Amino acid sequence: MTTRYGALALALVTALALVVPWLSPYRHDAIDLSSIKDPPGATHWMGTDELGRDVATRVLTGTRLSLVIGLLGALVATSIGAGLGALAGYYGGLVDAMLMRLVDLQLSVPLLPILIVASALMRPSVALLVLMVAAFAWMEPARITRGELLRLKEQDFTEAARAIGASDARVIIKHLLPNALGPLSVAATILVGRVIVMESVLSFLGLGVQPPEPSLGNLLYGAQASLATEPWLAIFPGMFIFWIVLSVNLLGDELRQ
Amino acid sequence: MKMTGCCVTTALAVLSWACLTSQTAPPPTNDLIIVGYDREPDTLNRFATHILEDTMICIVEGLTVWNEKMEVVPVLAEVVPSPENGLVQVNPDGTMDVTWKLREGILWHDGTPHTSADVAFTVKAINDPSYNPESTEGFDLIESVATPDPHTAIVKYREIYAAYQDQFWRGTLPKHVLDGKDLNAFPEYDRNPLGTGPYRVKEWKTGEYLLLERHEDYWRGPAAIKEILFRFLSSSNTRVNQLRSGEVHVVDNVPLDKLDELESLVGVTLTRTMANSYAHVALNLREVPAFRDLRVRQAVAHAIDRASIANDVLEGVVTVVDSVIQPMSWAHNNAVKFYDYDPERARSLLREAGFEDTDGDGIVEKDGEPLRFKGTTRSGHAEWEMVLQVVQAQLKDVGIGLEIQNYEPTLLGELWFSGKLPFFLSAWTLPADPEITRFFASDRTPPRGRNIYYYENEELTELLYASDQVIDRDKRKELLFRAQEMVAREVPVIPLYNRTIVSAYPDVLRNVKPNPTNAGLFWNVHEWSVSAP
Amino acid sequence: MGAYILGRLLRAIPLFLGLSLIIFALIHAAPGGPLTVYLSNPNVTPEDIARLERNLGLDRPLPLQYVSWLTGFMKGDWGYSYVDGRPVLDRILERAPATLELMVSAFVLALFVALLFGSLAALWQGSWLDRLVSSASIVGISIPTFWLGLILQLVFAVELRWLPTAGRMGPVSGGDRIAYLVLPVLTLGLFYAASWIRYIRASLCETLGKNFVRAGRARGLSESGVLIGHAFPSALFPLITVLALDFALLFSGAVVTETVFAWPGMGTLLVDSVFRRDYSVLMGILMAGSALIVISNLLADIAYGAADPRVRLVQGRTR
Repeated sequence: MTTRYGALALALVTALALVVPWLSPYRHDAIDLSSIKDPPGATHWMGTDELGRDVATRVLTGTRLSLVIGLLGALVATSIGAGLGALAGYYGGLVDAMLMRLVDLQLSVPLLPILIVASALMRPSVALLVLMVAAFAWMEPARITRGELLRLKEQDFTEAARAIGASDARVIIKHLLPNALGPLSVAATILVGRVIVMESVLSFLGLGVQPPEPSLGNLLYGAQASLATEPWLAIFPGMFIFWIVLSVNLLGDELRQ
Repeated sequence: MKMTGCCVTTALAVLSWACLTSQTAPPPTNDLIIVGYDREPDTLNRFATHILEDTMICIVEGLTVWNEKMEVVPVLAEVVPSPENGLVQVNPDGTMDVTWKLREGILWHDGTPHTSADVAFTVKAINDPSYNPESTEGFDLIESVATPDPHTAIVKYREIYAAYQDQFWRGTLPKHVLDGKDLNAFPEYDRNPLGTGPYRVKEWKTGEYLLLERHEDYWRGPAAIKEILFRFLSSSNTRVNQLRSGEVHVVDNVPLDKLDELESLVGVTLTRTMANSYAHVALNLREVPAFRDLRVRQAVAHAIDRASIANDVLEGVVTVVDSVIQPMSWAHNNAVKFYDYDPERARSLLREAGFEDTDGDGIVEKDGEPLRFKGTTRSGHAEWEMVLQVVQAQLKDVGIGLEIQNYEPTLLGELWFSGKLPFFLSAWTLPADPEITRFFASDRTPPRGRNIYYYENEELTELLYASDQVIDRDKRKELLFRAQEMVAREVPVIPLYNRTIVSAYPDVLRNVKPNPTNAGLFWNVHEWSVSAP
Repeated sequence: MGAYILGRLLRAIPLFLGLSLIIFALIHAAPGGPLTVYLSNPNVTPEDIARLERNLGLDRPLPLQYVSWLTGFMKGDWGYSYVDGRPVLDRILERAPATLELMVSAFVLALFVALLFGSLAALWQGSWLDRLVSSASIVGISIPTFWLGLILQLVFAVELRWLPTAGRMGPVSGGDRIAYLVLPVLTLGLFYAASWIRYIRASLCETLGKNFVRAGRARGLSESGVLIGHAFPSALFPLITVLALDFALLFSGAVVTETVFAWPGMGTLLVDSVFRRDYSVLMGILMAGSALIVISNLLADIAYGAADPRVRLVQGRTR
């Protein structure tokens, strides 16, 4: 496929998230009690909430946060995964066996329930939240890296590098990992979507990002109560999560091909 | 392709069948009323919880109850004791005897007579140091209970206790069932308590519903409505939606912002009741040293636009109040309004107190310390979460930095009782008796009381304790008037608005009398009936 | 075969122990510890807390606590709920049927839809149907479950009033069981239907291009003979593993779906218990969820091995 809809859609939503809160005449937390619960219209494109705040500004501020969380989370998870996977693949043997058992263990964790309990008990900051989600998302990149390294380490160029006296670390970083970047980037892309969904589920349950800081998940948490009367409060944040996740999934498919 | 078509058709058929058959939610009848209830009780033991669950009052009756006008009326007692009817006697040594005459012929649901031995057992059980009831209020002042005959219980207090009439509003514990049992862990009673009331538990399906059936031999005659189903629906969204679709008939405590939506609903009556409860902001003088300066507290009070909160945010459903004793109480003092919304005055008070914004970050500071603190309310309580955000904006406007950090109830309780919440928005729901000593006496900080302000004032403390020792209502009122004025001037707590309870029930349901106290909507459920529309 | 099953079983045990350790550590690392719920009662004195700690064995060293908790757990003694004093196992078992009903219904529906559309898309690769199914499935895996639930609720329950908004059929509530199930099942099932469609389509497409299928055709087998006899089995064997893993993952999805639809299952129990700090119930649910995952992985391995003898040998060697 030569189309790049995924990248395009992702670029567009990123641009919106960067530009709108900045250009908007409203601040995301500016209360205006004279325009409470206005439906979407010319002055407020996505309407206002129960305190008269501009939903468009809030949704896009939340989108920005979600994107940051998604990108950071995916980056951290991929780095952990690539590191562990490289060790396992390169050294093999006991290291490999132990790390792969760890992968099995992590894959068997009831992910969402654990995250729900952990975030309720720890009341994480945004940074901790990213780390928490990443701690349960590194397995796929680890397996990919391990597989690639198992394949590559027997090849000539590896032998050559070792022959000229390159250290293990140098061989892994300079010669082997770059070859795994292709499949890793696909996995990382998909992870962005999964991390964003995880964060928004937690916030939706009232456990992730805490109001008044707007995140797409906690905007939906607040909107639940007024679904019947002010549906726009629920529709727009959800649409943006959907948009982001759809575009990274498309991008993942496109990269794979 | 044929297969696809076939499957799609089947799926559609199933879906439409499901849709068509679902519209058979039963209407409210004398056979069954369905209540959309906001929370599942932990226990039906009335002594174990501070929230008087509506479900309990259908099962377990008090010796007295507060009626819809907040008057104490007898239930299992013949009369409410008072000095006038001679049932209350103050002894020369400062002790006090209160005689409860029990109604004769009352039987527990198992057929055992309800007697003064149950009253004596209740006092003994509550005062047992190994039992942890929710409150020992008043009980800890009882020296002994004499039971000269099965229908007379003479309660002997060590000192004068002005709120004696409310001593047994939670009812009594059945001696013949509970004597010798560990009340902290007796799930048989907690899940299916023995009562004397119009209903008993038929089935409690945890997480789903509590089904009550009427007690056919109820002493006032069997209730008209055969069964009451409390469905536990913690989401207010779900409760309101189900009320609209007829899946539930009665919803109490309708969220205030749903009022518009429900007012147009045909066949549903909405009532607004001022509750004996007020939303407020508690300032913690121990946690925030700046609050020890009266001028800072006054500045906070002047900075909050309560009228706007009541009228714009809460759409005029609630009423702004200034006193910590609510308007429906005989002790309410309505002349204690001292701090209007006046941001200019707030700014100048802060300046007088030495707070000024020297670094231009919008927050005032004194000696380099910015005036910033954490504000908390119960997370999941949409109304309070909303109000706190408005308060945050209004305080910011005068240069006070409020950082919001909300907690869910269990964790909140822990922080609350350890006095760690600097600025706490919530509501007190009060007993009918206007006693406020536990909130403001210097020695009633947690865990001994609810002075979560850590406010100390000797004059006020003396005044409050004096008011508790007066049986004569006029004299007590005078003392409480002075106490209210002092609290309102000193503002350790800023009352925001009276909590208004919105109840929704079917037009065809008769004799519903919403109650301002925590006796709740169901206090007179034995009188309810469904009539033909 | 027996040795293979035994081998798998022996791998499951350390896995389960590892999970129990994670869960135990998580709960005990929490600020306030398991007794938080009592700390919020003003009438509970420090002496009471000390007494409770002794009674519950919380004053002993952690490793000892872990061992006695785990042995108790294995014997069916899951402790008591801090909230209502009832046995944790009872509280979980009374909620389990609702969750299983939801999970199984969603699983069956999603599998049916996925098999149907996945195969159709693969058979008519490149057709409009294929393009439609492929686009729909990528949309399906991208819609956040909880938002979908809200939107379905808004459209079908609040606006159209076709279906009940939330809850599960009670003793006397109107309507029938199916009506209450429809929206939660659709909400939960969509993601899996979409992701399995993608899987089945990809796997079938690959198989259909392979030599043995072409050979079958060349030998003059009918198209349906080729499909049923050759392509389907070899394309769908790997699906067994995916399905088994995903069935366990459905539990996570069920937590969210139950919350949106006030479905009285283990998910709502989990969320309630989180907010009420009912640690013993939380530990019970997490353990039950882990057990579900470990068991379905085990069953998947066994089924996979039974279906294809080569797997037993290969996996026996490499893992």
